[in-house]
Amino acid sequence: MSNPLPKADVVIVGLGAAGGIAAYVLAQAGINVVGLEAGPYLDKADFLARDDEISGSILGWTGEPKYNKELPTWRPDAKSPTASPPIPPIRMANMVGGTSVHYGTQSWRMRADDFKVRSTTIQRYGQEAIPAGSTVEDWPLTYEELEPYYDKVEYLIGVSGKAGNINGQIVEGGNPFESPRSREFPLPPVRSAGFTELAAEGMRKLGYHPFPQPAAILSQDFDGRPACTMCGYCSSYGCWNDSKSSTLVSAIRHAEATGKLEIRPNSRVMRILSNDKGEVVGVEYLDEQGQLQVQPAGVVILSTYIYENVRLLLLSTSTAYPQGLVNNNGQVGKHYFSHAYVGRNGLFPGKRLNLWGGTTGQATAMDDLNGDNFDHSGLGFIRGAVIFAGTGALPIGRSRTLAPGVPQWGSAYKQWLHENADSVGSVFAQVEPLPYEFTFLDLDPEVKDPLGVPVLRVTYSFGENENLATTYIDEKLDEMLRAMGATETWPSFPARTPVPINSHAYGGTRMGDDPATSVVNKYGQAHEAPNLFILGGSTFPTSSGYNPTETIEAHAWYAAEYLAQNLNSIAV
Amino acid sequence: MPERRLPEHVLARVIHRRRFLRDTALLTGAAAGLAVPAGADAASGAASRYPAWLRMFAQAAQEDIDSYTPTALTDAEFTTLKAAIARLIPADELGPGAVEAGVQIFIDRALAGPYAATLPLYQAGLAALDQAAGADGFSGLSPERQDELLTQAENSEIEGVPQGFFATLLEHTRQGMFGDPIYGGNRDFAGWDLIGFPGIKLVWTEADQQIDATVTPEHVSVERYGGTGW
Repeated sequence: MSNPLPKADVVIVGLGAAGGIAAYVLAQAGINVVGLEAGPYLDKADFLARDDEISGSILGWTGEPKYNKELPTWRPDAKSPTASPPIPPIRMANMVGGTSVHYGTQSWRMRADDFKVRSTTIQRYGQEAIPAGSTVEDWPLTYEELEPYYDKVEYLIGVSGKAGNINGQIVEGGNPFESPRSREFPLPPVRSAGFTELAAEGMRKLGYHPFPQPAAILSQDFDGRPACTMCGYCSSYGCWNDSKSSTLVSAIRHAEATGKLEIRPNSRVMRILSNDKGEVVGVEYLDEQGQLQVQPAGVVILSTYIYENVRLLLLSTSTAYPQGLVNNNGQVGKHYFSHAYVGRNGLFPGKRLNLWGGTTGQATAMDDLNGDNFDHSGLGFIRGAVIFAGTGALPIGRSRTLAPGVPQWGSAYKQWLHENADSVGSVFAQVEPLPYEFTFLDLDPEVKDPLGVPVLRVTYSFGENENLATTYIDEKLDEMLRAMGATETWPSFPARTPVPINSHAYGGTRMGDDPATSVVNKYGQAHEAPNLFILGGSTFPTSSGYNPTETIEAHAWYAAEYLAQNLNSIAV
Repeated sequence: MPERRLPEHVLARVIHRRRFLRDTALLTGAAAGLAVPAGADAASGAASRYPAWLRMFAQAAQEDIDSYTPTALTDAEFTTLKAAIARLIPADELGPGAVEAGVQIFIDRALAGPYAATLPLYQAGLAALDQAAGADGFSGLSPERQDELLTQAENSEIEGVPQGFFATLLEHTRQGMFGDPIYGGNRDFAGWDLIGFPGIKLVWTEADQQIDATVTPEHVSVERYGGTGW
């Protein structure tokens, strides 16, 4: 091992959505930051050369540097052996900018009641409405506290959308259910397409309130970056045009320009180091040449991804933390949950929908069945789903998207695809699941990655709440597609089916006021080691139905600002 | 700023293109070249705004399908593979089938590359098809008889066909037929033309995205943009 490197004010482990925003806030405050990123430092020319479905959607090249080689194992419950998950693991990206480089750009704020699931449920439906075994808690943070940071993120990275509520005034054309925002989006919504208009009409027919989905992709030029040209290679792909508002081309680009952020790509952190007093003192990492290095730091920010956040903590044992870093209360790995999905295809015979182009950000969304926006009395479940219908389809995916009864091969298969490959439109729902006593993460006792390090083990199943919620939403999706004119519908993503290893996974280092039931406080600061900050979805007590990235980014800003203002008292 | 580095497996494939772009000083100007005026439709007259650097990449010559020599599979296995995929996606009045599109080349290359772990499944599955076919082997059967055997394989009714073989073969046949031609299948964009996918089309106009609008095939592979496949 080399001698320790010069001490940094702050070292950030993982420069993705959370780490990228934190790096920006700290660098702007004049703090010296070292950013360690396990993946490479790429740019749009690299992404253009990867606009192909086999390397992107199928092989998941963006996760090759690390994630694909250390996928967590899964078992349904603590009594069962590990098995193949019912849905294959969803991919993450390892590179500067992290998964914000290849994500689908959906950019949502959670609503006020999303931060208070436990208390608002009990208030409206009584204590017995909380499902048995669920460890669901309110956030230690409110929408009102986070609102200014959502605003800052939207205006830094460039988010396109239409406000539905500005300072309490309902605005025509936006989401009437959203919590008040202080001003309009920085960019108008991504334009509609024929299919998203059709979806909006169908939803309106059923009495719903559709609106353009907010998206972290540019509807107009912004911050020196050009507007999206709707190439169709979006989710699972890096943007060849810098139109996608990843942290790579926004926060990190600006942070690096300050001269205060030193980015070290291809640098994989192996351990977070702590002293006998329980303070963290730096990290140990493998550099680009494979040499083990020690990077001392006054503060460590752990912002990899939920699985690696938890894994690194459990691997970083020391005298002060024999059960893993900041795990003396036994809370690391607890309260795990994973977004539930339901999707349905509809056949629109004789219509060419022209879905090949577009972006995942181009969609009609609705919130009527999300959160507690509808009465759950008698339904047997709490919470709901954001529902959307968008554009973007790729040919191999379409070659598998067949209506029930269509032959899987032969001339009849070929004929059906020829006539219908672009006549299938879909609606999709993200259902809010709950954490349970029986859903958790720990180290797999047997499986190791290529470096010989144990991978994480996921113990996860749905509760009856999730089974009932996904079934209910699936019925609504069928009604919606038929209202849009579909002649038949079939599942693209079945109800009652969890995604145990997911790009929308939560918990494991939950945030809360009580160290007995959480790992970090509302600033992401570890209860047991105040100079360790943990950021990302691993801190979420609940998920809402929405995609997590904008909330991860807003919270990272909130946390990093607190750290910047209190660095002298926090740093060791 | 540290030098931007790719991991070795990516580096080997893209370094040439990147150096080329840097040397011609076009990369830094790319954002400006691609910019669309604020408020303008991203699409109107978009072709004229394609940056020159996107158009410089020429298509490489394609391998001749008939003279391809398999690397992962034996010649005999390759013959059986071709006979099977010719039934999964046959040549007919709608156009070329899997074999004419070179799907067998995609599969053989994949089995020598990222799908190497699947090779034993193919070896066992193809051997079982030949075994079930009798003296002339699977490729010597009539198309009707081949379809019968494939249906039995699909329903796990043939002795020796491993679990998952048929589903894997079908999935890989679809990947080869409808994936980017850079991998050896989808020759002359036969798969994409069959289903109306126009190829990589970097700019979709608002008009292109309307229901029943006609979109002209562009027949562009990722190879044009520096792609080298897996």
